[in-house]
Amino acid sequence: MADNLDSVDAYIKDVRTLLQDVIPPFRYSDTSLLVAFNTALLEGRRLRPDLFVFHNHLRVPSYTGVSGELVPIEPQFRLAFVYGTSGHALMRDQEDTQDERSNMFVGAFQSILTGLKVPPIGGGTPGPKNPQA
Amino acid sequence: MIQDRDLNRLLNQARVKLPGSSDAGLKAELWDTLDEFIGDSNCWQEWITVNVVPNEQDYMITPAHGGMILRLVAVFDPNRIGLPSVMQHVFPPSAKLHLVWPQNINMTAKAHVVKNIILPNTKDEVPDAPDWLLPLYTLRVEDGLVGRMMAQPGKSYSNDKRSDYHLKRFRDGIVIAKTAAMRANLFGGQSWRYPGNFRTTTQRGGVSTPFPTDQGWGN
Repeated sequence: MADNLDSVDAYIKDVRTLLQDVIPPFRYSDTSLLVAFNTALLEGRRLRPDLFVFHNHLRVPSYTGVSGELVPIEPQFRLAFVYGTSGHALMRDQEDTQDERSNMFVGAFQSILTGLKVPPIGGGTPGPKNPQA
Repeated sequence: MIQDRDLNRLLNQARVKLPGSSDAGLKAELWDTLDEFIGDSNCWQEWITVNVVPNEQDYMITPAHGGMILRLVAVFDPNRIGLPSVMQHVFPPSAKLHLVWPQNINMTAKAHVVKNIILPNTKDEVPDAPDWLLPLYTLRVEDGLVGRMMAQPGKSYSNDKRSDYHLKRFRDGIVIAKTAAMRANLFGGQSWRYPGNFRTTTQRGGVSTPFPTDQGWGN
């Protein structure tokens, strides 16, 4: 598996690391992470259509399986889609509400695509010392 | 065709000045930049052979070295005598040349045309522009590319003030290229001008020519 985030499985692997979901049975199914990944790509199309101009003739790619299929995103923007996928997955999480962390991932996703400064990732798992609204 | 080494240098310089830009976006904007630079400066020209036959006034001409025909400069017969001509219809990349007066002999004329870039691009999505363009005008094209990118809204590299600066330099570059093309890259060519004190008419709005057209005698 490549570590330079050039394929679907590389993205999903890194997303699982950020979500602390690397040991089976997984909390987030492959299907749910693929939906999050595809949704992040759609949002990327809205923010940066230039990323999809030539590679897919403005068609946003969509993936149905975790495989070695290549994802045509330029290297400097790949981290954004890891964050975007993570944020969307956390947004739908029903086991432990992590809205703040989700918002920060989504904010980082948008900042990488449209701005210079990436906001710090924060939040963390809710607990007695880390209450979240 | 633009050489890889020239293109890579141009894109590298642009990447440094445009943090957060994509290569696809740079190439898309490069097309518009070259379209404006080449189209406004008339710097890409070609001589096209026209096999003139008796009593035929219309000829379809096509560039042999890429690009599309944009404007007609002149048509000359084998003795370098100008043939009054117009080019009212352009069918990219070709154009229809119309000789104002029919000729009565076979001859090989030469049409001097101005060209611009045209789709399709190369397989790397690079515009098919002449290879001498970037070695001659790389700084000017870079200004246009960076300026146009900075004019895009909602990007990390959006910057109206710097965009204005680069685009002014770009327009200056177009004027430089236009002058160089008009003087055929001749240093000091046509630098003399008629003394203004002796001017009696202005050339603004066009200059009447001695060449007759099918509408009259150039009046």
